[in-house]
Amino acid sequence: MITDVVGSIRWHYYTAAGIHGYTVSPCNKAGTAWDLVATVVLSDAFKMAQTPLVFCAMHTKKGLDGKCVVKTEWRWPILSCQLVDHQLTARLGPPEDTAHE
Amino acid sequence: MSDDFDDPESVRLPLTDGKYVDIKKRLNHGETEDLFARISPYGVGVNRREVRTAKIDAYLLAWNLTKKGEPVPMSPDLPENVRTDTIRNLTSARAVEIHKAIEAHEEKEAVARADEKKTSATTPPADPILPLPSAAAGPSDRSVN
Repeated sequence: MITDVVGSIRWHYYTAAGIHGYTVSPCNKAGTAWDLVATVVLSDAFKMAQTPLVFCAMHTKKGLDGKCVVKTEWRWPILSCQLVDHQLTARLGPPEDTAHE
Repeated sequence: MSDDFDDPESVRLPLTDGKYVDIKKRLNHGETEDLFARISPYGVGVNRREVRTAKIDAYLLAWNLTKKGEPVPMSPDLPENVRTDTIRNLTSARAVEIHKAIEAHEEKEAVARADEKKTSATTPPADPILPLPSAAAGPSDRSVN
């Protein structure tokens, strides 16, 4: 289970929603399906209704030298989602290749 | 017939010295409105300081520009002020080159759109009246009686 703060829902190059607080948990041992529960702070209703949507989770970690901070982004394709008030629940597919900055 | 909503698409525009910018192929209505509002906030006259910067900002997605050999980040995810400040700190020559490349791309897109409209205007509309099932299927041996 991964719990963190900053994330976003993307549609192509657009941010369809900003996320402040999320939990991603695997539905199976193979990691082919994941559940997302997140708090949405800003969203575009039209973009949120498009496909494909991708959940992006930003996190930072220390580099191999233990000093430099590496920004990493995990990305999961959204298979289905429901947004009620500011609460987003979604079923995610397997994570895509991680993007580094 | 052309669609009423575009899917986002990006285009890579080559610059000199092996550099490039990735831009939005087209701005949607909201982005165009934002651009106009930024250039001319009160609808009268234009804010000369913003004309080129705002257009570059509206279109720009990414680039491979560098400072002292190090890549300078550019992404739609960057805060608005960081994007604007970065664009404003480009050399004049590079900013003009990017702006011209975007203007040329806009003109090309406008011509493509006009051609698309001409094509759809000359294509006869599909027959809105559907043929009767009996006419389409030929003689039938089925009876309603």
